[in-house]
Amino acid sequence: MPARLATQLAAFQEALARVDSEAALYELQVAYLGKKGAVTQLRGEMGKLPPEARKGFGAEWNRVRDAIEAELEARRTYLKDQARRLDLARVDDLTLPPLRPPAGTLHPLSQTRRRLSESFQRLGFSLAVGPHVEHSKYNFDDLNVPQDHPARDMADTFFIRPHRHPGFDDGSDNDAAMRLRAGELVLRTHTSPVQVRTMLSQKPPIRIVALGTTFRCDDDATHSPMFHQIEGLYVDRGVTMADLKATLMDFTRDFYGRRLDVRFRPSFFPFVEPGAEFDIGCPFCGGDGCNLCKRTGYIEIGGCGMVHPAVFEACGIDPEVYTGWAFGFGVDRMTMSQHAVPHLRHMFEGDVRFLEQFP
Amino acid sequence: MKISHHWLSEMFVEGALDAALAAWSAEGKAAAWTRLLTGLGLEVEAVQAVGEAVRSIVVGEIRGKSPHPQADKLTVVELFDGTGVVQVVCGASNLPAIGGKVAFAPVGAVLPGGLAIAARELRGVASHGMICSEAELEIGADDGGILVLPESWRAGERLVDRVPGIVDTILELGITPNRPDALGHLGVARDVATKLGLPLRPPAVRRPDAPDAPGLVSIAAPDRCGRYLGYVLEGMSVQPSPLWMRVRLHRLGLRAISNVVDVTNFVLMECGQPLHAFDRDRLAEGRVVVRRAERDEPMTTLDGTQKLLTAEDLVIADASAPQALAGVMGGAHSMVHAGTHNLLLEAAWFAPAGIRATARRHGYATDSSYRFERGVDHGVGLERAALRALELLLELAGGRCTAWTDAPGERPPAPTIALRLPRVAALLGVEVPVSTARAVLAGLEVQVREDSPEVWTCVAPTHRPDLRREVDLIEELMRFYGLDKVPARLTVPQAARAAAHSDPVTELGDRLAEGLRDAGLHEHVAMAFVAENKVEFFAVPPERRVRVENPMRAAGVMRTHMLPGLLDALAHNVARHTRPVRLFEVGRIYAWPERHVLKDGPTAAIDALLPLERAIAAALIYGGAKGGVQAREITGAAVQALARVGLRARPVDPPTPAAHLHPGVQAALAVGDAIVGEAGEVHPDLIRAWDLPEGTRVYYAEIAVEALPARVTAKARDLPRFPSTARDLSLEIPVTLSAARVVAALTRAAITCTAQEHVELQAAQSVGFAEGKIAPGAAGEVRLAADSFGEPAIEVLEDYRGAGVPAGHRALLLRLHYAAEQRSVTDDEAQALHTAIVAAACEALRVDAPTVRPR
Repeated sequence: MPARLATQLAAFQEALARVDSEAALYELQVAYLGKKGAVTQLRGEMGKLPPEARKGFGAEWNRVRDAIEAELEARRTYLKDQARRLDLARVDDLTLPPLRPPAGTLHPLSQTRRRLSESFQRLGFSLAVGPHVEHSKYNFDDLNVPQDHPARDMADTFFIRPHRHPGFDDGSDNDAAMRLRAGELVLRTHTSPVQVRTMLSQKPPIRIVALGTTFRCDDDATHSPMFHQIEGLYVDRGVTMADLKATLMDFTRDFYGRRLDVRFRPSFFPFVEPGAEFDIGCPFCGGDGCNLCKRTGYIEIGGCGMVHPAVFEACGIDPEVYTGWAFGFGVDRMTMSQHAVPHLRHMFEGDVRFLEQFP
Repeated sequence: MKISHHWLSEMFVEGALDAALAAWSAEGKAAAWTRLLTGLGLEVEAVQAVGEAVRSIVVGEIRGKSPHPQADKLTVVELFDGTGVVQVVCGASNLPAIGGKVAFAPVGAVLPGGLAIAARELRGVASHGMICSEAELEIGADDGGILVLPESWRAGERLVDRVPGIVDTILELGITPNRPDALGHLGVARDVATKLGLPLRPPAVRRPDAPDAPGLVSIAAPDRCGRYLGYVLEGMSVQPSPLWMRVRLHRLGLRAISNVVDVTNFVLMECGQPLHAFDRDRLAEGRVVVRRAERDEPMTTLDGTQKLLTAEDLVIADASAPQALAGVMGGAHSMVHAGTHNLLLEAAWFAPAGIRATARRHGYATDSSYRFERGVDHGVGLERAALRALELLLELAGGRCTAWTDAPGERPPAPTIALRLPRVAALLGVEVPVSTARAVLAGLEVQVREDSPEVWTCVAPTHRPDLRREVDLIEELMRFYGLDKVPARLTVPQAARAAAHSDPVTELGDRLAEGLRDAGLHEHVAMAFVAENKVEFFAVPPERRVRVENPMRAAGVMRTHMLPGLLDALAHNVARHTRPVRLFEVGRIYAWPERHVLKDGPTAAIDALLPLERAIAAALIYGGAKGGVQAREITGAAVQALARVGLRARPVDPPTPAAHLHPGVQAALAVGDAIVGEAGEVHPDLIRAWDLPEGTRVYYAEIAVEALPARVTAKARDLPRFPSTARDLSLEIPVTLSAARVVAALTRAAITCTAQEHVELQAAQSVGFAEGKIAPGAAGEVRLAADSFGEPAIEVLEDYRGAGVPAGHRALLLRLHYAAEQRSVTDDEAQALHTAIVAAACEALRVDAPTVRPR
């Protein structure tokens, strides 16, 4: 090998060993094989050689260039490999607390209400609503709870102070009729006035649920003066109590994910006859008996029954043509047992340390 | 209502009930009762076995008494227990004389309270057993001395053999208001008899052999008193009842008073019929008049309270004055006392609604009014109860019945009910066998005439005022046949159902809640009523506030605003921890309308009487003890919530400032031209009013759910094919001039500067600054670019205050984007338009804020 080629090759190899980045490698490549590179320039000297030596020199030059290119490539591969290894050696602990926007939550009561509402909508019940401040006609009278009847004691009622609407003082005919008497307006004690409103407003078939806030003067460890109820009503030709039981069982399948037994016990609610309380097979133990069902295999849910003909009559529906059933139960207690909430007061205090527990 | 098993068993042939109950279920007395009665709708709330510990108590005879050598108050008693004489130390002061009988707990006995009796020394004297009081034996309330037994009892006899029913099982029943008959043992026994197929054998009674005395009772208000039975008893001796009677009453939670009073209470518990005994010698002319009271007629009831009556109150008067508040409470003047010898016994039926009204009016809730207002028997049961009391009175208090009368008033007619048997299956979805139906109705003493196999004509008994219609009888059949026999079977084809739908306001509220949750807020549920002082800060004037007549926790006003509830929750949190508090609530607020609102539809007449209820989504943000929350997070949360319902909202200057928000830190929330809510910092006065630390920064926003415009389906805009060019603008403006107004002014200026060429922009201008849609310009024309929503591409980058800006001013850094259709924009043309827009906008802004200038 011509001495100058050999010198350049040796110098390249010495420099190559010191290269530790792709940028430096590129610089080295330019220094030797670039347009003005040391090895490239040696090729220009081939013309100065005697013709017989040219061929040999050319071959040697090509060999040196190939060698340099190969070594550059090898070094490049090595450097890439090295960089990849380094990159892979990085550690970033993703078990540190995740960074996320502040997490908000829906109130457990809301979550239960939504799930109930969705379940019953899947079972063909439309959502119906009504006012919280209700007239006693809809809250009591039309529901077969007459004035001065002890059934009114079943719910301790909040009464709304009568109000004279401005504009009623004009002495017109309806002035007296429109004036409210004491005890006429109440905070609804149940969601049942929505039944009345719906039956007054639409013809059967009627299939609704009313879900909402209700009020009773009751305030202790297990009763809040404001609570929540759901009420279902189904009115059509041929509706029976057997249908009610089947529907409630269908509801358990949708809501709890498995069909649970439904048990009726005779009871009294003025707006249904026959009236019953209903229990469902304990969703926590499936009926085997656990602490939550007090080892009975059943949990008490609410009241139900066949719509009383007097209610139909008050709402202009012929009880000889139509039958119907209704059920109702409290959402708060169901929510609390579902989430094992230890104290009722937690539900309405708004302590974020409580609320954040229900993602 | 407490029901005694022993008492119930007395309503049957001896031993029959226990045998039948055991045959019905082998699960034990408590469980059997629970299943049986609960299955009949008489819910068993508790079962308690009582008296077991009394089995070891015997009759002791006092053979000797000597003072305790060491203690003044103790006596050393020589007591004969039937087999031998034992020495017992006793502390009672009512020890009977030698030969007297007492209740003795021998060594080895365990008292009901758990006290085990052992031989022990009391102050140096050995005592082998204990002489007990009735309270210690839990058979009475008297703990003032030992229980002294009749001298006729033999020493060594067991108390349980002497007092029938002292060992018993007490059932606590929850009786629904429709079942007044079940407020006595006889009524419960009738249900049990019907269920178990046992013949009912209540104690026999007979009419007294005494003359009718029509002058004894006159009914002047026959509409209020349907029937009045009066009995004259003479030669009575008022004294304590015998032990069996006292135990019986104690077991049901009643206090023994005297034989006469105890008998009326006994019959109350047995028959569910309230009775009243007058001292007849205290009745003027010895007779009673059932009449309405005079207005403001005074009366003192036997609890010693003085009442002024109304003309709607029914009284039992003598010839001159009221002697009882009918069906509610007796009068003090004629009440039975220790010296009473002659009685007038009353058994009556009063109209329920009147009793209820009187009891409520005068604040009474007695065992008597409780039953009368639910409806007692006015038929055979009424007289039965009276005669039962008569027997017991003559047995326990001596004397004789010398006269009686049965005065008639207006009794409610017994309804005749057509029971169509096929209707049972049509309603319940299950057939009740005819034989069962027959047996049930017979057991309940319903008179049945089987007119045809399908229709029976029924007359309900007078003790069941709840049986009025066909469904009531169907319920009875189902109650006894077994409600658990109703199958689970859909009886209406599901195809007939309409598709279910939701409620639009509920839906919107739910979506807003999700948006606020996604903004990192926790949902709170506050009480709908608040204290008056908590709503004073808000715009609803006192006369429009909806008030609760009978509030709890002093929360007498239906909330007029969402903020008080959220501030209460905030205060609760701040008092307990130092963390940030981010809350929201979707709820209703209440106010009377300013004017009468006419409504439509079948419920309009009622709806017009009701207050307004508006659904509000409200949010509150507090940064915690460390602070660090920016005011703009609250608008961010609100805008995010509105995005969840498909609405693009932005904060604008409030049309009228909200008084509960900081005057300098508030905005209205606008969607298009509509104002849908508000946001801002809670006013420092409220921070003080809620006792939050001085300087606490709390941010609040609310959205009126029903005010939201309908969601508009997004229409796609083509993407710009050429890049836009940006120009920055730094404007020096007063701090009180809002960014929203600056952007609006720039938008308007842009529209003006290019309006001549662009028809669409003119249309946009007509809707006002709030909705300055930027339309594509004529080909090649340079214009203010539009963002992805077609709104002017004006960014507000920075709000600078500090060095270089005069006091009361700030520098707002904005970036405006310029573009043209189908080509790039040159720097020169962009700059020309920018200069024109800025000049026009500044001129417009200077009308209100003369110091505005570009920097």
